[in-house]
Amino acid sequence: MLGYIVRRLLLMVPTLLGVLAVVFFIMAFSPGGFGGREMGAEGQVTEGQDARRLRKQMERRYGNNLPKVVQFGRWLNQVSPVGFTMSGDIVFDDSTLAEVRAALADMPLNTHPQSLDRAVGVTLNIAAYRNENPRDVAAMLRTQLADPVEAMSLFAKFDVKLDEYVARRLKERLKTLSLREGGLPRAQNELLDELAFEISGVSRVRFDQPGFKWPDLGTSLKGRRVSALLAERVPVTMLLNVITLPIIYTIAIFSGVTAARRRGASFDVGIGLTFVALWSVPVMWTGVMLMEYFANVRYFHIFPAVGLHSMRADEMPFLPMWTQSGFTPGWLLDMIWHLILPVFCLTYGGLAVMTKVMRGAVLDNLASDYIRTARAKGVPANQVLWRHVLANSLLPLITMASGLIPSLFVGAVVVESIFSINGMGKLSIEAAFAKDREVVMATTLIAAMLGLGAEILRDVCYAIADPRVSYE
Amino acid sequence: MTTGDAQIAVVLDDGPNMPARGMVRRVLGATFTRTGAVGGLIWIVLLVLLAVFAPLLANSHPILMSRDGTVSSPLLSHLTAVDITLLVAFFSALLLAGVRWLMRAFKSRLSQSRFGAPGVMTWITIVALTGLVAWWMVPPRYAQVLSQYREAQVAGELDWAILAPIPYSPTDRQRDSLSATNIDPRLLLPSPAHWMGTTADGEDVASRMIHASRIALAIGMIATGIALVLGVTIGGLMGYFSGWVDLLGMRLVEVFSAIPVIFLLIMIVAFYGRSLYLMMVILGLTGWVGYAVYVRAEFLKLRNTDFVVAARALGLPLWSVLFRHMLPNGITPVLVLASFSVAGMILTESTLSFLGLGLVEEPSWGQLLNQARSAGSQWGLVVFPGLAIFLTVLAYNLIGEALRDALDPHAQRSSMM
Amino acid sequence: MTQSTRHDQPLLQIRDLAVSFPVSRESRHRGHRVRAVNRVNLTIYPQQTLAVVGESGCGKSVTALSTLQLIPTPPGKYDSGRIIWDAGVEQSPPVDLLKLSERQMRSIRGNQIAMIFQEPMTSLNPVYTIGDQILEAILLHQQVSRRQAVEIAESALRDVGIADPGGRLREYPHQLSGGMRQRVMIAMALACQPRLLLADEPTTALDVTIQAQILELLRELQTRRGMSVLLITHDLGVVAENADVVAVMYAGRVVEYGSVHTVFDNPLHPYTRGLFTSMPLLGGDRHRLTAIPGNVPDPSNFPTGCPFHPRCAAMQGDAKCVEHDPPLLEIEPGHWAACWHVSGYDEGLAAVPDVAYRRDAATVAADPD
Repeated sequence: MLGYIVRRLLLMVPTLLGVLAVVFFIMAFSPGGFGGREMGAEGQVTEGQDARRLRKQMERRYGNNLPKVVQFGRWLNQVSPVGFTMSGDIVFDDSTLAEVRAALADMPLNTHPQSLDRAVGVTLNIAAYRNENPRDVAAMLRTQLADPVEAMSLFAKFDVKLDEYVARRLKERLKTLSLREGGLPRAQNELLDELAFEISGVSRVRFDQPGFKWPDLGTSLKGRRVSALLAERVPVTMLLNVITLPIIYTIAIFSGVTAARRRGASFDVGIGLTFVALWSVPVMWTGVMLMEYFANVRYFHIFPAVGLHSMRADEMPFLPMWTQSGFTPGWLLDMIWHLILPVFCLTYGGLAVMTKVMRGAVLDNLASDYIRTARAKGVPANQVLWRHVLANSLLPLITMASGLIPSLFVGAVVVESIFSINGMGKLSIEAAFAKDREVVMATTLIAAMLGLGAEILRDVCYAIADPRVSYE
Repeated sequence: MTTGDAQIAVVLDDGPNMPARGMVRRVLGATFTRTGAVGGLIWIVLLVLLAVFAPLLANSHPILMSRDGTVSSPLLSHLTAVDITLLVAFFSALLLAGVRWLMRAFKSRLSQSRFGAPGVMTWITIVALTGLVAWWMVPPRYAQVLSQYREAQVAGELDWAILAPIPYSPTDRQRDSLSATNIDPRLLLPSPAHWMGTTADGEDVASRMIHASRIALAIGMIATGIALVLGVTIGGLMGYFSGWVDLLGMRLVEVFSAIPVIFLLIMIVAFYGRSLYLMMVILGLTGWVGYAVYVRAEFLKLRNTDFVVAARALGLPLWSVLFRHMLPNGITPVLVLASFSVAGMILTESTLSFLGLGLVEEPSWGQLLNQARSAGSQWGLVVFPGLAIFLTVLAYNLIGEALRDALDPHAQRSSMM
Repeated sequence: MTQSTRHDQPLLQIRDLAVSFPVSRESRHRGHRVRAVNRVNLTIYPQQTLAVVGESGCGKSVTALSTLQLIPTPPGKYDSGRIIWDAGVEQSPPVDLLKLSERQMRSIRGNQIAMIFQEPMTSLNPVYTIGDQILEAILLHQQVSRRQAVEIAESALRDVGIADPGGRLREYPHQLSGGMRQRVMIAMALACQPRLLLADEPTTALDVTIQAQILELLRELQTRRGMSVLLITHDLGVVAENADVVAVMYAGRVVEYGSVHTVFDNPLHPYTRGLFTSMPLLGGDRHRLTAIPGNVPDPSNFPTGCPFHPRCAAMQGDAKCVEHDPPLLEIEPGHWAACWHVSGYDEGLAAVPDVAYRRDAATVAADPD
């Protein structure tokens, strides 16, 4: 079984690559390209030199100026746990750090504690980017910075070609400053400022350093680490799904079994009609109606309308309790209260399909030979149903699960957007709107991995539930 | 029942080998004896009528009016190319069906099977020609002063005017209302003047609803059509050739089934902009997987059957073996899938519109529902668009269910569905 | 016959049993019901093997399932009749099995009357082990601990000739061959020492060599345990080798009844005779097999009068056959038949079929058939 799981996980890789490639190139070949809005590519946010500078800096950070296939390769290398280290991720040991710090400590630019940090940072960046010894780089920086105007050649160390206008302006400024009495430290600092800005996030694939590394999902356009963003958003969506799935299964099993037992009776017909109807009710309609009539001061303000927690949830005790000021619902109850409407929206759609499958399976099994055998043994009818029939009827339900999980994700996109829940669905819409490549790719990766993982999980569960299936 | 029966039969009429034809006929016959499926069909026919006659039902332009003694029809002169094409398509279909029925009735020698395919071809030619001509001849109208007729009427410039049942175009924001009647036209509640109320921009909801039925139908049909053609072709090739074609195809299937479609759609709309046609194509491009998997499995079974081997041995061209000999024998269950998929496509389109990624100018049910979120007490915006989506999706699902039950000999006929 | 008095009391008496089913779920047949079993009478004595013979759909299985109240109702319905069960034990007087509640019935099923089925491949629950399924039966009916139950199960498996019973208990049905599964079914049925075994075509789905083994096993267990067997089959060869008494069924009726020798030596009913001529005989003088013309009657279009008359060679246009259904009469002592054209039918006695005959092991071995 373990071998099978490993094999399946390995087979997941090409599929994942395919998915990522499709999404990546759809974005890459779009007319606006990545991050269009923030970069001003559509010319609608900011214009002028600063916008252009920002854009060029972004280009360097995301490698947008490279051929598209190379960009994809870079991104893959970045997220892959096996690959080449990026120069930005190289970490120097503490002794090197101390040496560099010491080498730069007595420079005139150290008017402010942060100045030294920045100088050390730039040094290490150069060392990592150029694959040079940090001590040599520190020495070089010292000599170069003696003449700030000459030190503008440092930009070339990062293959940064400054905009002509920016370069001229910087040069003028540095000239003026260094001519002024005591202006050298300021000139040096301005240069380092500029350098630090231009090279922030700029990284190079260090082909000389292959091996295992931490996968890096990159930085969003707004400057947040994507991994941090996901760590915040994915659990919310998972929570919704983890609550929804058991509810769907429980109701589906009970109503499916009951419908099958009373086949043709009014309960059966009623439940069949109800669930086909429910299946066709669009989630957004339900959501909007619930919001409008049950979370609205105008009608019944029974449920909260926004988010997963009340404003003051952090100050609440975890469990509900009585205090001097009266009843406090507590953090847990507060969250459950917030979850009721979204979970309802996610649940009802899946019920129809699952109940229908369950009903069919129970009917098939009720008519089967081994049920007759069990009854001939004298097994009570209830035990026949819940022990013999159910165990066999769950098999198709397991098969259905892998189709249900992606559909719950789709539901989450809508539900999260209606109820303003900051989950992964909402994140993916926001990312797509912002044309934020790193976030879009990360959400794609997570969604695809969840989908493919669910398939593997399904097959494993199936093998556990049905002794006839074995993958050895 | 006979409508659907006839249509499908027409498609397959020309086939040479067809034990499948009787099968399709029988299945459709069994399907449309069910109350649910019949109800669904009635609702869809109603939608088709609404879509075709939308400009005549809801329009700010009077059907007929007389100004200074000259009688004119602003409505007719403002019909768009799409309006004209749809109307021509509808009436020519009626005409051709009538001719076919007459031929049957008189048992003419031309009748029965041979008329079907030429009939459909004629119809397609007529529609295509009308479309082209209309596109070319009818000038697109950008800015229209939709309130001019009301203003003229108030000013007494018109002798008389016959208005459409809903005298508001979907984009008529009733700019004249405030000055003329001192009523703010925005977010009016349902009333005799506005059956379903108005939107936050002062547009008549009922009018938008009627015109939106076009998008719902078109998205469902065309996107499913694209998906069907793609899926059947890819799946057919995979099943027929098997081997490495199959291997490659299956990887493609895996990739496309691993991406949540809604996610892909959101991304494409965000990166490529909003367009009805783009949306149809994208929905089609992402929806083919189910058909491909099904047709592949069916063709893998069929490829070694005697009649396929015989067809190959006769040296028939590949397309003929694939589509005339193999396909009809595996097509019926695909209809079930298609029916559910139309429902799914309609749902997806309204979801996108709801999320604000839909069409901008064209009215759509999902977009109306999106407006409902900030519509306050205008319950007409909450109830009617949702109900329309629900009923349409339900209609297709009911037909799909009935089809599936009709196909499955073991199916338990639980209810009247 | 020198059995004790208790031995001469019938174990099971099926009297006037009639079971009906709706013709179909389609609306045009609504309200129409067909009698799958029509006034059937059977009598089984202790240690006796009663074989019920007939084509598929003649009501053999329905009769057996009715005995355990295993006909699903609805759609099925017990129209009339009694099934008297007399275990011959002081503390349990004779009871009508059809009148027992579901709860009372459960203590009979698997405990006093057990049943094995035609399809060993599908008659075991695929998701539970052999052990689970045998233990379930034992624990339901016997007040024993789980450990004791495992021992009982193992000995039951050993009794049916399965080596390594401990290992087999942990296996799943799909890991066994068809013959093995039928052995497991028999072990499961016999684990609670039932007085009567209903064997519904136990060998039909098996290979010929396995068939012989299973029948041999059944016969041996029957002798050892002194139980009765209701053997349902369509194979006259099986009947000849195993049965004491034969009941031939056609279209839900018993058409001929008697000890195996009486029926085999002198078949009276045209249908029974037809069955014999359609059976290949080893070393027989017939070179052609004659099939009975026609088919088993369609339930929705049941013939009037004698249900066999459309296929009957003896009828010769007799209007009586078309109009009146012949009752089962005792034509000669210990031999019943239901046919207007059997000689001596007019003087037949309206007696309930009841034959206490059992052949002992010696006659079985020497049987010429």
